[in-house]
Amino acid sequence: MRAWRWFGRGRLPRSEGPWAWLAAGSVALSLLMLGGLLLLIAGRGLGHFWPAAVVQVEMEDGRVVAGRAVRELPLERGKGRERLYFTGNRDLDGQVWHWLPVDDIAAIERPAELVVLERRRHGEFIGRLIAVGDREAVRDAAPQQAAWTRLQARLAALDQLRAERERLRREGLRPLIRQLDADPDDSGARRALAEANARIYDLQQAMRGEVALLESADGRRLHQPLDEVLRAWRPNAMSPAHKLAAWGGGVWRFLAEGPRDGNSAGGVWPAIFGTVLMVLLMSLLVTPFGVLAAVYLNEVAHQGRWTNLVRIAVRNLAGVPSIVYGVFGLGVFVYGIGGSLDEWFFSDTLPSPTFGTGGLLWASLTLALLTLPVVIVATEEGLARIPVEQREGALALGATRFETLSRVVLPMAVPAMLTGVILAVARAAGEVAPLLLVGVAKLAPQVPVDGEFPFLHLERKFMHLGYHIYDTAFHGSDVQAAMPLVFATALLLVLVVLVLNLTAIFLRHHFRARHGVQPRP
Amino acid sequence: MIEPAPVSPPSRPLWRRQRDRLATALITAGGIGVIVAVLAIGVFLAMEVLPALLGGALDSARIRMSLTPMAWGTLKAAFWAMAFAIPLALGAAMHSALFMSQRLRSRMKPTLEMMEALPGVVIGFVAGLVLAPWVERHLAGSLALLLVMPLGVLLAAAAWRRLPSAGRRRLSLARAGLWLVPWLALLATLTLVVSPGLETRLFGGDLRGWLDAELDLDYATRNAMIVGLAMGFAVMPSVYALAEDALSGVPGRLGEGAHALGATRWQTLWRVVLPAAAPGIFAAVMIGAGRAVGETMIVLMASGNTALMSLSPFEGMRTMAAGIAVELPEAVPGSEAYRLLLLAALLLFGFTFLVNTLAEVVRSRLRRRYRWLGGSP
Repeated sequence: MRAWRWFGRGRLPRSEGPWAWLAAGSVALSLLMLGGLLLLIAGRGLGHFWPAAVVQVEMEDGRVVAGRAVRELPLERGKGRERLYFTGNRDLDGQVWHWLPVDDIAAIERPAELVVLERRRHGEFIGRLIAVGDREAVRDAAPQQAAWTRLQARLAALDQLRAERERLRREGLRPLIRQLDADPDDSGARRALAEANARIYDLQQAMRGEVALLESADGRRLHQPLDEVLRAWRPNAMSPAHKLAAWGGGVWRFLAEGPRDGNSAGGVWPAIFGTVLMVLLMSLLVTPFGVLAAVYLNEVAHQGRWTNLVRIAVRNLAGVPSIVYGVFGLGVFVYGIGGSLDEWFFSDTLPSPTFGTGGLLWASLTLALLTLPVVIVATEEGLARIPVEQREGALALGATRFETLSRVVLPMAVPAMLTGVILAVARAAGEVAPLLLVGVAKLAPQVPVDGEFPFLHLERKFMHLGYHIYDTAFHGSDVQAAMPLVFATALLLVLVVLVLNLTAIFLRHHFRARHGVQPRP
Repeated sequence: MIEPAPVSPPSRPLWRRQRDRLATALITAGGIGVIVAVLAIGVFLAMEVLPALLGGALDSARIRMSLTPMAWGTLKAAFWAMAFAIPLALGAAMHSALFMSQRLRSRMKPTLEMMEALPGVVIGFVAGLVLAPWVERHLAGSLALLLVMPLGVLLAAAAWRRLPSAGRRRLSLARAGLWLVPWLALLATLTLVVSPGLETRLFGGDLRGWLDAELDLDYATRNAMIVGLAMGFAVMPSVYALAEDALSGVPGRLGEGAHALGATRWQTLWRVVLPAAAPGIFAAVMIGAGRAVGETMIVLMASGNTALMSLSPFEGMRTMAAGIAVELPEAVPGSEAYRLLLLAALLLFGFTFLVNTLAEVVRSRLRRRYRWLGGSP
């Protein structure tokens, strides 16, 4: 304190002292960390889809590498720096990363003709395009002038063929298979099925015919079947507007496609779908029961010591760790109820469990239980804010208690209930720990909804955004390559949760402003 | 003579009354059912574990062997998280309750509520895969940051006193939470730029090696410090919100009296408001500790999950929550391992439930005291 006075030298106005400033500093520090975290996630998550420039690096020793610079680190014991390049070409090099010492780099160029191909297998290819055509025609062909335009045309045609095949499968094949399942002796359907299969086979043959002759930066050649190529672009030749369009396309594909390559590439559509479906089921369960319990506690039950105890207990359950709910879900829902269901109804498939393992239904139920206290507390708060005069007025006019509740009290409490449900949804969307126990899959082979009876498959496993982050980041084969996608997934999850929370905050604020009443003491 | 008023026919037809009774009965049954279902969690865990525990099916030596490291890890993680969260949360709560303008405060609270809503898996991912390797590479810089941040704030305060009064008004203490942000960001950048040079001069360019040689501290990439930082970040908003409620709930006339006697705002806070709100702050810390003990994903992703029992903040640990998450799906129901993990869950449940109940009781007492102090209507 004395040292502090020295700063002031007495003639300056009285100050609050160092501690007040440290308190202000802790606000600033929290904001800084929050901002930093959000910026990091947003930057890394969105930046991944930008078609970054590809460089060709020539080393002093004559090696040539093409790739994207990722980051730079100082070498051990201060001998200069080294830079990490993403070089792709897993099939040629056996790896996709190259660490190059910065001091040994002779030249860095940005040739416009470098292409990047996104492939179904082996990840990305970075190098040059020599020729496109039939397998025999391009064997050791001389470089074609129009290879790039031909490649684009062929890829567009392939996209059409793929869409056609998908349509055939969806509309021609699956109904026939279902028909045959129902009646195995239907010869007409059998013939139609054979025809459809033949057409799909033809399509596949048509797709398989052509290859691209590629050359890596150091001159090794490679025949790439075109049906394995998903997209191709030349980042160095693209204009900013072009890049922006490509970026938008990348974001869209991330949202709309399924994962590939062991979750390290592709999109997260099944995870979005699974998360939304689970949260929907959960809110269907949690809303009526939560409101019921809140109405009972606040309107029907005798307000005494016991009610208060129950209220405190329910409030405390909101603070019980989510993993404990997961344990409860595993023990009671999965092993208890699910096991019994299996014994009664699905005994023919035992010992492989149907309901006796984690699945959509159990996950939703567990999360509903987890978020029940949130809904109860929020609804109760809303009910308590409604002035007693409203209830008394209704009763004085001759309404019964039920009529007072359903016509006066509950309509006024709707925003509070909505707030509670939104908060519950936000919490459930971000909660992963219980799901580790009661049912998510690394890669769900089918989404839990399809055209087969009963359309919604409650026993199936599903994908979840939060679990996707955990799994890809910690159990993936190449975490480094999957990182950008994990960031993008994290950004998506954070956005969903934040938007939901903002809505809840807004609703609560609006509600308080409208009634402007004090809570009952 | 006045005629007696004619007896009015029953204003509520029978079916209305019956419907009312039926609805009330249904609500009662449903409400009680839901509450029982929610409370069943504790009952289930106790029923699964206690018979085995009391009947001797669980060997006490086995329990000690497998649960002690996890309990140790849990406490260690919670300790470091709280060591990080408490100063930050309480400082922020004090500042926003007593120094900020009403307008700024009403913006500040939702912002920090957002922070609370960030999913644990995202924080854990950033802590485990981005922060941990980064801190390992910039160990000296990161440790220096811990020192530079408070000093930087004090430096800013000293500089502030030299400003002309117009500048002092613009950059007032009430808004210091905002204008200190760019200053701290600048300082952090400077620290990180300067620290490699300092590291070379002081520790021979290798702080990790120096720690190992001089202090015998082993540095693991994912360690208690990282977990403390990440979990402190996750726990801090809820501690802040509760402590802020307690501080701003103190009746205004107490503070006004102190001001009238010539106390500065900080003196008022420290001598008058803080003692009055102390139970509420205690409750806030307890609830924060309860959350830190049970947090799963952050620990799972940022702690390295090694069942070590060491005091060092630079080594990893395994907590009960993470242990349950990793091992329970593989444990055969009814086996000893299964029951042990359920016992861990019961311990977690019991601990958090007790802590939260304690906090809740303290808070409700405090509210009564405020009403009494404030002479509430």
